[in-house]
Amino acid sequence: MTPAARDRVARVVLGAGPAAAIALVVGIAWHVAAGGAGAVDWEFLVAGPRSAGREGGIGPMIAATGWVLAIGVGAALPLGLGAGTWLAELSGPARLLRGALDVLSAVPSIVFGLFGMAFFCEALGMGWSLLSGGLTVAVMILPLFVRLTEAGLRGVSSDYRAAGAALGLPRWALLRRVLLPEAAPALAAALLLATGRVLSESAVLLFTAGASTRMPTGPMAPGRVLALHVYQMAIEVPGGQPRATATSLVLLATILVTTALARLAPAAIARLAR
Amino acid sequence: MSALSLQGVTVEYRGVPAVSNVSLDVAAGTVTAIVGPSGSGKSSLLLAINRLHALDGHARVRGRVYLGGDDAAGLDDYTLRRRVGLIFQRPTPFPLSIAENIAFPLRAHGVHRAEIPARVEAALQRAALWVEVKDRLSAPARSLSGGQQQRLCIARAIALDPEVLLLDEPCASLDPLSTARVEDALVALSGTTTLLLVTHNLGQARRLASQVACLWPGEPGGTLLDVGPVARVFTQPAAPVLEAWFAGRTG
Repeated sequence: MTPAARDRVARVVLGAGPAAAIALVVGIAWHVAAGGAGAVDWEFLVAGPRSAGREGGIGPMIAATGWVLAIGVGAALPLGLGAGTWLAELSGPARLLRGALDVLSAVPSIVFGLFGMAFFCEALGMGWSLLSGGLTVAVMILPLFVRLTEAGLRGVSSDYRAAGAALGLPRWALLRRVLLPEAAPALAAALLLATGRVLSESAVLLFTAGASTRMPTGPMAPGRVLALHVYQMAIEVPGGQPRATATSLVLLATILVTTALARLAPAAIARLAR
Repeated sequence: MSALSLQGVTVEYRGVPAVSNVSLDVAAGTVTAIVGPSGSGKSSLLLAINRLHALDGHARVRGRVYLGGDDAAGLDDYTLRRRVGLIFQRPTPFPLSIAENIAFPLRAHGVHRAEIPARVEAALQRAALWVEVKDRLSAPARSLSGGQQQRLCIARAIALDPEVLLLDEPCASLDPLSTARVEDALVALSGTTTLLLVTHNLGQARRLASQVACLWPGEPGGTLLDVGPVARVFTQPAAPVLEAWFAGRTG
């Protein structure tokens, strides 16, 4: 085979991977959009479900998902930033802690659900509530978020640390003014990954936040998140399949918007931090 | 009294000396060049003076460093490094604007906000960069050329009014024209700031320094073969290997 022919073959072989990935995304989006677009209107987004979800809307599920996301990310963000920064900038090898975090991030999410039910719902007496669910997903995403924060900070050129040390700068000042803004894109990507995991979680939240379809009145109320509603409509409610597809479309659109935000966020974060 | 005095300084990495038992006095407001081939421990010696060797967890320093009569061991890292600045081989501007590169360390060291614009301008003037950047102080520092970035780093260091400025091959990554501009800036600084310059460029040592210290690689670690006025050391070095090196017969 001539070198040029080899390059053509390599191009086709290497191109097949990305092409398959794109085809998969387009295929799933097409399936969900074709099956769900007809059912999604303003009414569907704000109204409560009727007839076990076969009719009506998913307003309470959107609200419940918002609560869980806000509580989960809100609790994991400061803890994760703090712990990741400590690991990247101040700790020694800390092998035990790193090992523990790696094991935790590989633990199946259902195990976190059992922990959340035992700890937040029962031991702390929060019951089946959006607060219990949010805190449980916070614990679930924390290990991943800590390690990604650490990796993001370690990715920042060590020249800045050497220059800061040579100028006798307090490490905190260098961190706030230079290292964290430089790591902002990586931190935003970490946050997006964590958000995606929260949005896609269903079983964990069945254990801790319940499956109530009533509009949540606050963090102490139970609620059913979107991903759990998809499962319930598809498996538990005869004739619920079309609503499962329509709900999936809303979930997919939410993830698209989150991704877009995460792409725009780094520049904004860097500007705010300066 | 010397601005800087090293007495029996040894720097070790994992127990292996990089440079052994160096004693050196640097008079205030003068330029001293440390020359020597690769592996003679020039940079290790320089980093030890403002304790930056501590960034490498495996380095250890013995001996004494005196700064204007004060034992450096009695100064905390922040105070020591404010009194002894350091310029790296590669320019290391922060990813901030030109002005902010200088203003941020000043604020971090507690300089009053009202004083900062004047201090920024004065530092840029002394580093011979003001004319080139005065109309674009808010432009990113990384938009500057390599030589301008190095002069910005010099301005950033001298804005803190250090007594001594250490320079670790400050022109090694620059082209000849940029090197000339940085050398001009260093000549302008000498007299008010004490400069200790590590270089493997003998011509640069001759052009800039009044005193030269020659390190030579050895077992164990680099040792000081000669130190004295530039005119004497380059014409009548204390060791035959130095004579061969200066004459271009080795190295």
